[in-house]
Formats: sequence, C-alpha cells, structure tokens
Amino acid sequence: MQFQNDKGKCIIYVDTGGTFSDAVIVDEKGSFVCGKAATTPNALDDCFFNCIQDASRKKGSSVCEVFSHTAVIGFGTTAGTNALITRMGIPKLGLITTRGFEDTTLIMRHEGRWQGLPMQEGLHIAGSEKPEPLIPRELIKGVTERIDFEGSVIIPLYEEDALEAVQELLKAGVEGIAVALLWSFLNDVHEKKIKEIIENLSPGMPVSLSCEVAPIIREYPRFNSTIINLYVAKPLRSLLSNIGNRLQNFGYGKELLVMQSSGGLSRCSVLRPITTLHSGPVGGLVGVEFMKGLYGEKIAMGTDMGGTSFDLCISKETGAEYIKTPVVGRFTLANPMLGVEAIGAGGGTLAYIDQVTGQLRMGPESAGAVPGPVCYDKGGCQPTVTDADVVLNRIDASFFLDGQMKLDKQKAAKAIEVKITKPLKLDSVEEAALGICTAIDGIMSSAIRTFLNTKGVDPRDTLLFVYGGAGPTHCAGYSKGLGFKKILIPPFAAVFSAFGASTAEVIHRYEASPYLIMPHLGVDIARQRFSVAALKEIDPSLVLRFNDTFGRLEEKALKDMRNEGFDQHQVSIKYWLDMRFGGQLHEVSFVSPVGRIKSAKDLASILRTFENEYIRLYGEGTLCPKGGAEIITVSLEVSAPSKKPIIARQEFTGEDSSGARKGKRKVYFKGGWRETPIYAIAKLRCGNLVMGPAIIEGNDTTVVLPEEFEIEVDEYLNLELRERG
Amino acid sequence: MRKSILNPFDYEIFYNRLFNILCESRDIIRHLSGSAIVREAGETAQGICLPNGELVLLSPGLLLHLNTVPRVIKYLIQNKFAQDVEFNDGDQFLCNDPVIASMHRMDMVLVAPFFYDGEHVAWLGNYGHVPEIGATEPGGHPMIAEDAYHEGICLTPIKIVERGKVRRDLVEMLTRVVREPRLMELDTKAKIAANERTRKNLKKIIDDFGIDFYQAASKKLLDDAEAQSRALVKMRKPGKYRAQVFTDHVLPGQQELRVMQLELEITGEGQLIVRAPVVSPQSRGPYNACLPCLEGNIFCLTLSHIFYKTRWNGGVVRVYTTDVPCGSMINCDSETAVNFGTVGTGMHAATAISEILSRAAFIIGEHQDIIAPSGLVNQLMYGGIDQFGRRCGKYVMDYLTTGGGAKYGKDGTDSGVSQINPWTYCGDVEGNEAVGPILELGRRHMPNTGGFGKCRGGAAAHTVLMIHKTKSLVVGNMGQGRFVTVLQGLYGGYPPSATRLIKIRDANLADLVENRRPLPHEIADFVVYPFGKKEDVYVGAKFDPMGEGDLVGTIYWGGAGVMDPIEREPEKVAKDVQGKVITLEAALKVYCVAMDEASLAIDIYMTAKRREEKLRERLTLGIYGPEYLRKMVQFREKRDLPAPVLRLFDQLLATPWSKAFRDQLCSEKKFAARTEEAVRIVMGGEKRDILHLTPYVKFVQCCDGVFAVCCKCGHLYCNARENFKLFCLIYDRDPMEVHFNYSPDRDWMIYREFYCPNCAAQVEVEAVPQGWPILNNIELNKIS
Repeated sequence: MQFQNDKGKCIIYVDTGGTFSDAVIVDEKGSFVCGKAATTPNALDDCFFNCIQDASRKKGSSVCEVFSHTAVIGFGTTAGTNALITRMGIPKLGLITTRGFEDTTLIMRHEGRWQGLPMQEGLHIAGSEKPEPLIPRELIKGVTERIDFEGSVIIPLYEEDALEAVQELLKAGVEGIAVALLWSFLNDVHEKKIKEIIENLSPGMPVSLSCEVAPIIREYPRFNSTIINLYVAKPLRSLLSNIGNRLQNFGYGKELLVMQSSGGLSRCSVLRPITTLHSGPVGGLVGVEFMKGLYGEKIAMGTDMGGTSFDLCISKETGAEYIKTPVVGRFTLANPMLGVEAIGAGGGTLAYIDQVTGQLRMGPESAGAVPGPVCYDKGGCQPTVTDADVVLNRIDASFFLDGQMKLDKQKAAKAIEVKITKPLKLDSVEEAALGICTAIDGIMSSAIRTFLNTKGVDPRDTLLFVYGGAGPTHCAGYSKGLGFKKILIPPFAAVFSAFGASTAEVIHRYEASPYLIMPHLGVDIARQRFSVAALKEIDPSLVLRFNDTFGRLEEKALKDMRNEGFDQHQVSIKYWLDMRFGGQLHEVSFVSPVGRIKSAKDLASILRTFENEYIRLYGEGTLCPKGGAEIITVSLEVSAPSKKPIIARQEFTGEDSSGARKGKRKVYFKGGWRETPIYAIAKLRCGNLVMGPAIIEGNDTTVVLPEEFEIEVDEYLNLELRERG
Repeated sequence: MRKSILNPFDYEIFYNRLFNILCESRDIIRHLSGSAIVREAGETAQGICLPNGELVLLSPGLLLHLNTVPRVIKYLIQNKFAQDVEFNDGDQFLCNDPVIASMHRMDMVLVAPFFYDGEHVAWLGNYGHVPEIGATEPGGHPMIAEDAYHEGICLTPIKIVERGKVRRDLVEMLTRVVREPRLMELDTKAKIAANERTRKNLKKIIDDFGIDFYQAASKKLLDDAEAQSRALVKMRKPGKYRAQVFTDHVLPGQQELRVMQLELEITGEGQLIVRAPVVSPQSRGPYNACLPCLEGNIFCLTLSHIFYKTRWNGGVVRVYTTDVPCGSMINCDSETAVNFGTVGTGMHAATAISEILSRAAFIIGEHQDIIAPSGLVNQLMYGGIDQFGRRCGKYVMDYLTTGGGAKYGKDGTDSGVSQINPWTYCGDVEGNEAVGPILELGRRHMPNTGGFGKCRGGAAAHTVLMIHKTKSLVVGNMGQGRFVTVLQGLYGGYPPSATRLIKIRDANLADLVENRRPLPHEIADFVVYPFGKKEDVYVGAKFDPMGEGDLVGTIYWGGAGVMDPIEREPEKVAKDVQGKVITLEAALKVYCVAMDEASLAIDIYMTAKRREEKLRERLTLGIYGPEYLRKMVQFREKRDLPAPVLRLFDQLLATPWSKAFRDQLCSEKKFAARTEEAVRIVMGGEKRDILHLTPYVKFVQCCDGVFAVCCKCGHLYCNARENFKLFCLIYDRDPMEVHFNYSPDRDWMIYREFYCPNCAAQVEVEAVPQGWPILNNIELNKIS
C-alpha cells in the first residue's frame, strides 16, 4: 500500500472500542500493521498511545519515529457515546424551550419506553421503562415565544421570560444551557436572542442552539441532539485536548482528525461533538466505498460479523446512504449517521432450546465479551456460534487470536451436547454444532436478502465485502445462493473497519428543512408521472427558498472547509433531497441532480430522479403524483480528498497455492469429518486457487471453505469466494 | 436447497426469513401511506396465513389486529367466494366491514390468495388505518353516528386487484367517497404494494425450502405458539377472575352510565374463557364494539402482558374462547355504530382483562407481569381546508401521550404506553403543524392525571392548540370519561383522573400577546382566560366549526395506581411535585406529605402526623362490610341512589342476560341478612401461608380451614372461600377529594375504599357507581 499525493508519509488510524483499542499504520512502503491495546476507560488517551506503540513495535520503529513520518492521524472515539450511555457527561445542564413544551424531552414522543430496546422487551409493557432524562424537569424552563410552520413569528419572544429563565438556571448552577425552540430551524431569531442573553449574563457559559446543531424539522430528535451535543462536549474535548497535547510532546504538530458518524473526518477545532456518536461502525462502510472505487464498481455491500452483531451496509451508485434519525443510548437524534444496520447475530449469539416447544432458538441474545462463549472458559455455559465453530474444528482452539487465547474445546462440546444435542435427540455433538452454524448463517442470509430488497438493490450488480472477526468463518454459509456479483474477503478482514476509517475523507454534512410544498404540479395521468412544462407551475417563492437554502448551506460548508484547510476548488459537493408525494409522511432520500432550480428542466430532473428512486424502492405502480410533491429536508455534503492508501496491484503468480499450505487437520463439514488442508492467509499470492474443503487462517480470523466453494486470490490479495459449478 | 424434513435448524432459519419479509412489507405500508396514524403511530402490519385463514405469522405493528386478516379470509371461504368471485393468482380483496373483521371502518384490510405451482397454499394480508372514510363527520370517528349507516363507506370484501391488475374503477370510487382522496389512494396503493412484495418474497422462500417444508413449518409455527401460550396460561392458578369498567357515553349531549364486567376463567388445560356476565346492551351512538374488536383488544393485551416471549400468530388465538352476550355493547350487531369501538369500548373492556391478568400474575409471584390498567384514547380530530388550501381530515397525534399503569414496585411510565401497539410513537408537534392548520400552544404533562398509589400511574399529557391559517375547519373529539374514570386502580391504588375538553371561541390571543400577558399553555389556564366564549363540552364531541385563532384544550388518560398512596415514600412524592406530574395539593391531601410550598422541602414531622391522621380517619369513616352492605341494600330497595345509577340498574335488569346481575344483587341481600355471629370466625392452631392473593391479603391454612388474612397486621378477614372485601371497612369517597378539578361526578361514580379493619391499610379501591355490588375479583378453583 502507498499513499496518494504524499509519498513517504504514514497514515495512522486509531479506533477505541469497548474492550480493545486498535491502531493501524500504513507506511510509505505500503505495508499495513495493526496494534492492539486494552481500552483504558478512565484515561482513553492512554490506550490511544498504547495501541500506536504496539503497532510501532510490530513495525520495528519507535513511536517518535512513526510520528515523524506521519501525514495524518485519524481517531474514531467512543468517548461521546460512552459519556451518554454511562451518564458521565456534563452533570448539570439546563434547557430553555418554547413555553408549553417543557416536557418534550420527557414525553419523548411516546417512544422513549421502547426505543433502543430489543423488540420483545418493547412488547412487554410492564417490563420496560423510559430512561432517566438528561435534564430533569426542574432545569427545563419555558419562555413565551412561537414561530409557525412557515417561519413566521406568531408570538414574539417575551425577553423578560428569557431573562428570568436564564437567571433561574444560572442560580441553579448549571454548567451549560441548551436552547431548543419550536420551528427554530426555519427562523432562528429567538434562539439567537436567548443566546445573546445568556452570553450577557454569563460570558463563557457553554450554549447549544438547536438551529445550529440540527436545523431540521421534528423537534424531539432536534432537541435531543441539542442537549447531547452539550452533554458529551466536555469529556470529549478534554480527551481530544489531552491527546493533542501529548502528540505535540511527541513532535507531531498537526491537528488530530476525528471520525464522525457521517463517515467523514473533521478537525478537532471544527468538530461538533454530537457527530462523533456511533462513529465506530461506519469505518467499515467507508472502507467498502474505498474498495468499491478500487474495483471500479457501482454498488458494493459490506457485512461485518463480530461477536454480538451482524452489521450490514451498502454503497450505491450515489454513495452511501444515511440513517436520518439514528438512536443512540435510547435517544433519537437528528444528526444523520452513515447507514449501518445491525441485527443480533454474531460469534457470541446464544443457541438454546425453547422449553415449551422443544425447538432450537438462535439469539438475538449474545454471550458478549463477558462471560463470552463457553470455550472462553470465563463462566459462559450456554453454547454460542463460536463454540460450534470450535467443536467443528473450524476455529483452531490453540490458534485463536494469533494464539494469544487458548480455547476450551471440551467445554464447548459438553455444553452443546447437554443443551442442544440431547434435547433435540440428535446423533452427535457435531451434528448439533453444524446445525447451529447453518442456522446462524441462514438468519444472516435472510437479513441480507431483506436489506437488499429494502434498498432496491439487485445482488447480481453488487460486490460483497466480508469482514469482522467472524465474517470470513461464516461468509460461505451466509452468502450462499444470494447471487452476488463477486464476494471478496480482505486478508485483514478483522481490522477492515479501522482500515476503512483510514481511507476517510474530510466530510461535513449540513441539513435544513425548507419545507417546500408543491401541491399542484402537472400530472401525466396515463403514465402516473409528474409533467412539468413551465417553472411557473410552482410558487416562485418556493424556488427562491430552495435556492436560498442550498446557498446558505454551501456558504457555511465552504467556510468550514476553509477552516479545514481546503480551498473551494478542492472540495466536491453533493446535494441531497428528502422528498415525498403530497400527503405522505415518509420521505425518500436521494442525491439531487441540481443544487439550484433555474429552469423547468431543473425541476423536472429533480422530479424524475425522485420518481425513479421511488420505483426502485417500492416498485412500479406505486407512484401517486396527483397530490403533488413535497421537499421536506435538504442536505449538503461537502468533502475534500485526504491522504489515502494506494493498494498496489500484485503480479499474477499462478494458481498453485501449495506455498501457503501450513498443514492439515480434521474439520467437520456437512457429511462428516474431513481431512482438511490449512493455509496461511499471509502466504497466499495473486492468482492462487484454493479449493474447498479448506481452512485459511490469519492472525485474527479464519476463512472456512466448504467443499462446494473455492477461493481465488486477486491482484489486491483479496480472496474472491466463489461457489463451484 | 429443498428441505425434505422439518429439522430444527432449517425451521429456525425459516422463521427468520418469514419474519424478515413481513417486516419488509410492513415498512412499505408505513413509508407509502398518507396516514399519520400508520406512518407515525404504526397502525399497520403484514401477515401470512394458512389456506384455512389461520395466521402463521404477523409482523410487529398494530397487534390489535392479530385476528383481522384471518377473519376476512374465513369470511371469503365460508361465503364460498371461490365459486363465483374466484380466487386467482394476483387477486387482492379489500374489506373494512367491522362485523366481518376490521373492528371499525377506518381499518382497511387487504387479503390476497397465494398460489405456488398453481396450488393455493397460503393467504397474505395486511391492514392499515386510513385517516378518512367518508362518514357523517371528518376523520372517520363520527361521534354523532347513531347507527352503522352514519359511519362512511363499508366494504364487504371486494376484489380490488384482479390477476395482478389494480381495478382503477374501484380505486376511483374509493377516492371519490372520502374527504382525503389523496390519502386514500396512497394508503390503498401502499397495502397493495406490500402484499405484492410479500408474494414475491414468499415465492422465493418456498423455492428455497420446498412446498412440503413450507406447509409443515407454517403449521408448526402455529402449534408452537399455541403450546407456548398454553404453558404460560397453565402457570396461572385455575379459577374465575373478574374486573369491571364503567363508562358514561352514548352520543354527544347524551351521557349514560354503562358497564362492562368481565370474567376470565383460567382452566387447568391452559384455556382462557372470556365472559361478560354483567354488561350494558348495545346502544345508539358509536360507543359499541363488535366481537372482532373485543377479541382483538384482548388478544393484543394478553400478548404484551404474558405472551411477550412467544411468536405471535393464530396459536395465541387458539387458547381463547369468547362467550359474551350478543346484542351487548361488546358484541353488537351489524346495524350498530362502532367507530369508537376499537380504541374505546373494546379497549376499555380489555383494561379489565389487564387488571385480571395482573391479579393472576401476582398470585403466582410473576411480579414482572403486573401492570395496572392504562392506555386509553382521547383524540382530537379536525377536518376542512388546510393551510395549503387542500381538503383535510386528520387526528392530532398527541392522543398517544397516555400514561402507563403503575407496576408492582415501580411507577407507571409517563406519557408512553399504548396497549394496542407497543411500538408506537406520537410524532412531533412540528409534524402535526406541518400537515394541518393548527398551532399547538402546549403539550405538557398534566399534573395528577396518573392514578395515585404507592406506585403512581404514569402521567398523561394534555394539548392546548389554536386554529391556525385555515378558511374552514370543524373540530371534534373522540373520547369518554367526563363523569366517570374508566380505569380501575389496583390493590388500593386510585384510578387516573377523568378527562376534559374545553373550547374558547374568539379567543383574541393577539391582544394578550400585544400586552405581554401570560398565554394559555395548559387547560388550567383556560379557567382564568380573559376573553372569548368558553365551552366545557363532553369529550365525545361532535364536530363544530371553529375559526382562526380559536382555542381547544383536552386532557389525555393517565395510568392507574397500585397500592395504598400513603405508603409512597415522601421523597418520591416530592420528586413528583418537582417534576410537575402531581400538585402540592395532591401531595398533601392524597399522599399526606407536607411540603414547603417555596422550597418543596418535606416536613417529616407533619407528614408522619398527617399519615397517622389518615389512618385514624379510615378507621372512623370506614363501615364494616356486612353493615355497609345492609345499608347499600336498603338504598337499592328504596331506589335512594342518584338518577344515572338507577338508570344503569334498570338498563341491566332489562337485558336478556340480566341473571348474573340479579344474582349479584340477591347474593348481597342474603349476605346483608346474615347475623353477626355467622360473620364472625376464628382461626386456631398452627398456621401456614398458602398463597398471597394480593399484596395485602394472603391465604393461611390452619386446622380450621383456609382463611384470608391481612399481610401487614395478621388481621383475619374471612374464610378463603368468601370475598375478603366484604369483611373490610368500606368508605365511599367523593372523587373530588382525590382528583379535585378533574374528578368524576359523585352522582355517577364514587371511590369505594376498602381498609383493613385493624391496620387501616387501603387494600382495594373500586371506582363504581353508588350502590353497585361489590365485586369478587378472584374465585380460585382450589385454595389449598
């Protein structure tokens, strides 16, 4: 691997997870090393440097040497998410909101009882509760003011109310004030005035305005984002400051870039704390986008099978999509997150027998990291998918995680025998273990089918990337019969997400809800399509608002990018629209063909793109143009290329893979135990062909190749998985 | 990968694939729909059925309709549609007849026969709640509907898609007869698209698994759900459990007391038999339920109460038997209006089942399944011309800000429980205002709406809104519960407060704004509002024209409380006051917690003193059960009861199913005639606890038999075969003393409080009309 535009420099990316922190260093020779360290929850800057140190050691360099050759350091942190989930953010915040709506964040749109819980927990009404609010009712103050759906001031701000509210909060000793008023995203005059009052009364008091944090329609997620942006700011900024100081001590003078949930990096100085929440899983998708470009494909999907979840993501022709209102720590937010969807299936997924029906059930509960699978020998007693993999000898019990962890195969076998084999009256433990693997593969396969259907994507046009620690072990099972164009397993699958993050660009995303209602558009009744002959068919003020909204966003975006160090000519802009038919309440998101409407042709092209995306998602015959169209929210995504690794193409060395063979062992496949060749992933070369049954082992992952599959190593050393025949 | 045998691993995969494709189709309906109640509240779901109509699996969503799709299919089969209308591949049938299945006409059901290799092997079906159905008033819930013919378009199953082609003539007819044609078209296409997606995906599943596997696995899913459900029912003690609710609505301007007393028999075989021994007859007006509606509400509630770990389908339905009188308000005929049945009559009846299931759970120690009744609907609706000049007919989605019932050991959830759809949400104020000509001035928690108790019922919100930017609008409200509170508290907890609907015309808000005066943000502010014409109207209100700037306010339902309020920790009471979910007045008068008005600090000494006084008051005011009954029988015989109560008695005694009610009256008369000696009992020898009937009453066995005893002080109530409530001190409290401004009317309902004669713990509260028979909540088959 090498870097575009900056030969001789490293990229470092650090990802702090719940248990371990990973660092990847890609150096000037294109080599790729990973470092690992235990996460230090009370001093996250320690593990940041510890894992870099580990990676440096593996490279044979000192940390100082590595930093002196480093172009970019990227950081994916869970500090913000952790602060929210463990309630370790700013302990005493105040909220000022529109009088009459002081309970908005307590009512939680009714959804607070079930949002963020597994489905069955939500069904059990007696057993589920709302989370404790981040700001208690006594620190929420209403002020008299009101703006309506058009942005008109219906009730002017009673400034004496605002003054009193601020004084009361200051008297109560708050350490920050969130200001979130209804419809402020259309007219921010009252929020700005309140900020002025706060600054006058308490200069330096941290303030978060909803019109700045998430200026989009629907107040509940917007209010949450406004509060949480403030809540997590202190611990996050403190961490980033500590790391920055220590980097300077190492002689690294550049600003740290932080990964955001939008999939882009941001300098610390312009970072909005809320955008770091749940940024961890998006690294994989960023990597998928990078690899998609490498292969010159239009559509690529990523599947990340870890210990507890199976994450799915996709990058389509227009790039990755966003989850508009993600849920973090049981709170719905208004800050879009790159679309990574998860189901409860992973190596730790529990297999158990329903006591009444005697039927096998798989998850979604997981053994987690603690106690973990039975074979970890840390107290787990219910069999998991990993236990089944170990019993079948697919995972080498003595070579798990590069031999760092010994697994207890006997205990895994005993658990499966007692808990699954006997209750199901099966002939052998192996049969039960194989069944567990088959079942989890089938469940994941089903999730992929549904995921693709809901995205309107045909697998035959799609590249599938397989990653996560357990992904390569199960991908033959879960991809079987789905008909993907190509299935690729990167040799560094276990750290693919961290690698992916290292390819991220500097991206900022801005949203606004201009709320453009076009109820009387022309319709071609026979074709059930919009038919726009002239721009005058819509209210000219709507065109003005559309153009103004994007104009304002663009101005802000370019300013931020200048602060990031990029000139206008270096950045690219994408215009997104959230649009629906008149009367609907759900919007379809798509990349707009234009950022300004200057003619009927521009409007027609927007409408056509909307119709086409709608048909792709929901099928022919579903269009309902008679009620007109509505553009609710617009988004602007601005990006600038960062230093990226170049993965060098390898020369074809021939099909013979015997050079990578490292031995053989008995592995259980459908049909029984088979003497199975074992290959070392690191020794496979371009063009090598491995026929199933086979096992291909890396330091931290195992590829399982049943008999009906084969693998060919491509020019980037990725393993292409194919069904034979 | 054809599967020849039903092995457990393929079966698990099969379930997951089926579940996923149903979720996918459910999301299509939500995304394409024009109905806020579908998109925001999630009132839809997609299912797959056996050829005989039994539900194999249903997506998450509005589980209330667990049996709706099957009922339409069974109607088609029983009425031999196959013979002449025919079932062909690609057909879809639309139905919204409440008597057949749909509960009320806004629920449009769409079923489709599914063919594989030319064989009819399954049915697909979905439903969704449309916002407008062309009734006499907008929004689909005409409160003035006197009979079924006022409730808008009624479709017995019509073939709206024929061999894959949508019948445009029928779609145009449908959009012509409603006030929201755009939304009707969107919703119809949404459901058609969802069935089509299910058809495509199911075909792929059968391709992969094979038809034999599919058929065997589908049946097994049903059998498994039935087995799981029965196992859970069998854990409960067999016997007859009872609960009751009272309501007060017939038509706008015509309020009458009505009752639904439900009995749930739990059999040793795991069957649940629902009866309604005492129930009001069907009436004119929309407040009735047909049988599908009652069943749907009960099935749904049972799922969230005890079957939440099962896979929901027709197997759950198999454990239920319903036996309620035809012609009653919960099993009305096809001529009767029912639009307020689904979230009214049927839901209210189901809250009685909620109480029953909680009581049954307590006895076996399944405390996590105890929740006091909650989740009622009071819903503002409007119709006319919206701010964009379009016709409209919509709900204000705030109605979902209902409080949850208190649990055993925990408070109810504030503004966050819907019994009919566990995963719903009410949407945002900005969402409401974006699609309708309204401007909300307040959506806050309403203090004192949650039932008081050691564990407090969840508080509800209330809405104050202004009509904004419309040329023409009518506003109505669907609700009941002005003169009574519909829900019942549990184990000495109080029910939630009653509701209100207040309108102010010519409100002149601009004048207040100009002079910087306080504005109305909650319904209490209406009392002191200086301008306009105030109307305190019954919550089941007809649609009235309202002009720009007019104000409307209403209160939603809180959840009921659990256990004696004066056992609530004073610190929690103080927190409730700080959180503005109860008032200082309630803290002092109901919880007997004295607090400083300014600092809200608890006065520990005064609190202890007030609580002691409260206990003494109970011992003074409470009348020993037998004596209380003697007086009550006299009042009945002299007809010395308020007029609404007498009308209720007369109404019930005139029903063909009056025997049970007569028996109850007769039994109390007999009990009242018992001599004091016959009432007095003794308990000797060694004692052994057998079970806890309630948190306050346990059954104890000794050499003389089994007796009901106070858990707190050991007071001996009676023989366990008798109703311990008859041996309490009993006091009829004016609800005004508990719920102040928003209480029921004492001529319609009193809070009958039951105290332990020794320790004065408030062990039960019945919210009932004066003179109403004391309910025996539990009769176990075996008490030893």
